[in-house]
Amino acid sequence: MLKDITLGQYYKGDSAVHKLDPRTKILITIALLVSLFMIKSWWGFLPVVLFLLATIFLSGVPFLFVVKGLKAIAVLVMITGLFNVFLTDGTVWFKFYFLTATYEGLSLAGFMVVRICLLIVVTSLLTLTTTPIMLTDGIESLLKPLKKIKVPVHEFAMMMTIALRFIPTIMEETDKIMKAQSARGADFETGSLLKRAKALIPILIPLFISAFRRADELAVAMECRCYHGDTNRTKMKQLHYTWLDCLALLLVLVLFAFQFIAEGIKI
Amino acid sequence: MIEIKSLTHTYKNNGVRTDAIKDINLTIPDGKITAIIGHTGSGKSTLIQHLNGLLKPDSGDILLDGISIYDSKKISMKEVRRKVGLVFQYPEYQLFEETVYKDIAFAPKNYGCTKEEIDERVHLAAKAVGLKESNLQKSPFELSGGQKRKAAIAGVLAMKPEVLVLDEPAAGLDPFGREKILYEIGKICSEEAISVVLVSHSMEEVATCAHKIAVMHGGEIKMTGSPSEIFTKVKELEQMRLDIPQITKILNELRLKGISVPEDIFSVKEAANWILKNIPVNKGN
Repeated sequence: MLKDITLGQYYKGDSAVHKLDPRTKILITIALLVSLFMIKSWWGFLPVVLFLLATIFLSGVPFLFVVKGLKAIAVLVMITGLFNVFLTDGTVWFKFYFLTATYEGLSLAGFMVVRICLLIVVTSLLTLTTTPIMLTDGIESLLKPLKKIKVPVHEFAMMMTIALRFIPTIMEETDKIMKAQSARGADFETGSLLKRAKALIPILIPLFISAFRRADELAVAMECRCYHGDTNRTKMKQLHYTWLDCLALLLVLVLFAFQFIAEGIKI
Repeated sequence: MIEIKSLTHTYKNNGVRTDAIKDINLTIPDGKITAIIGHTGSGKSTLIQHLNGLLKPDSGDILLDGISIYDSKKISMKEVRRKVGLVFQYPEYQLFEETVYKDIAFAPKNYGCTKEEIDERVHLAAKAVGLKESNLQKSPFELSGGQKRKAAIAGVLAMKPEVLVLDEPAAGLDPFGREKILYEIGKICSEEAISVVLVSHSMEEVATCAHKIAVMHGGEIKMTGSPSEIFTKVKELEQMRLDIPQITKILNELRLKGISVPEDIFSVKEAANWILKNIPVNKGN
């Protein structure tokens, strides 16, 4: 059950997409996200969708694996859709008590749903093809200019690395504690909402305690190895741009050109 | 009595299949201590999580007093979990209540016991593991490591299980705490008439208290028998990266020299006594 979360999970692979420099991938992701918000017509989605399909194919990540990440936001998407259908003014489609559905709302809802789904696919593609460590390295390198105005970029990146590193550990721990409490007759699956919320206490308290203990141990271990933060720190794996990155950036530029043309098409 | 019949469990992770346990057949007798021994990754923990239905096997069956634990018409999973109390490795990490008393009361409360019943069970369970009354009103996080573990074991004992399964109960304790906890477990078995399954990777630990030993390796049970039967197979055990207790090694050497040492000596104390009594000291040497 906890294993179903694809968002923020890495899919091991050796494809061209995996090999791209994380900085390139982050920049492309940001560019795609911005472009998704700028699209105003249905045709505008077409180039992005094609680009994403091609990327998924290239990356070797199973299509279903990517789509599974959408399950987590199904409720959010549904609520957004419903709100748009009922709360947009325009030609009346049907009435349901005090609620009025409009054709304009329907079209806007569809638009929103596609947009949110694409946003998720774009971001999960980034995390699926980039290891958490590479991701934070990339972010750190991209944010380097901010050091000039005394932003602790390295410390932020380190905190992110640690947080990402401990997600699987804590999930494993949750699984173990859940099992231990079920062995004592705890029941997490039946009962009212309040009862189920209360049933989480025997899981959350041990989980928090062990998280604090781990944090403490990690801090001591880091100090023992004379960790000092940013100053004079070198990296074992240096980031390098290759011709692949140039190619990817070029492709994205071509994509935006297409998108510009597609936006102009009138239905 | 628990009968495990050709139990197989395979872990599936992103399409990779690993056989955790293969075709396990084992009987856990009533009122005795059965030890399951194997090195890390031999499938011990997977096996015992089947005993109370936390994991579902791919094939095979487990009979609890003749009834299959998967037969939901005859027995509910909740009842299975009450009858077979499972204490995980490092159980002190599951403690969560404000007081030790409340934590031990968690299981009986889940099983709908009345207040008086809960009170009685908490005190009995605490006594069975050798936890002082004065500790019951303390926060579990104030206790020492060994006491925390006792409290956690009491939390399972309070369900009044028929079988108590313990995964590495002495792991991470100092030698004194280790000996004490094993002593308490032996006492629980004999005084409360509860069958005990003890999981360990150390022969030394179970040699003195177990009545039956099952040796696991690579997800299979390679041998079962009484401690004295198992300890004669030194070569096979070494191939499975297991070792027999040092004192047993010494006694085996003595037997090779033609001295007939009785088969039922497993502790250092007994061995020392026997040697002092039966082997004459040669003052001239």
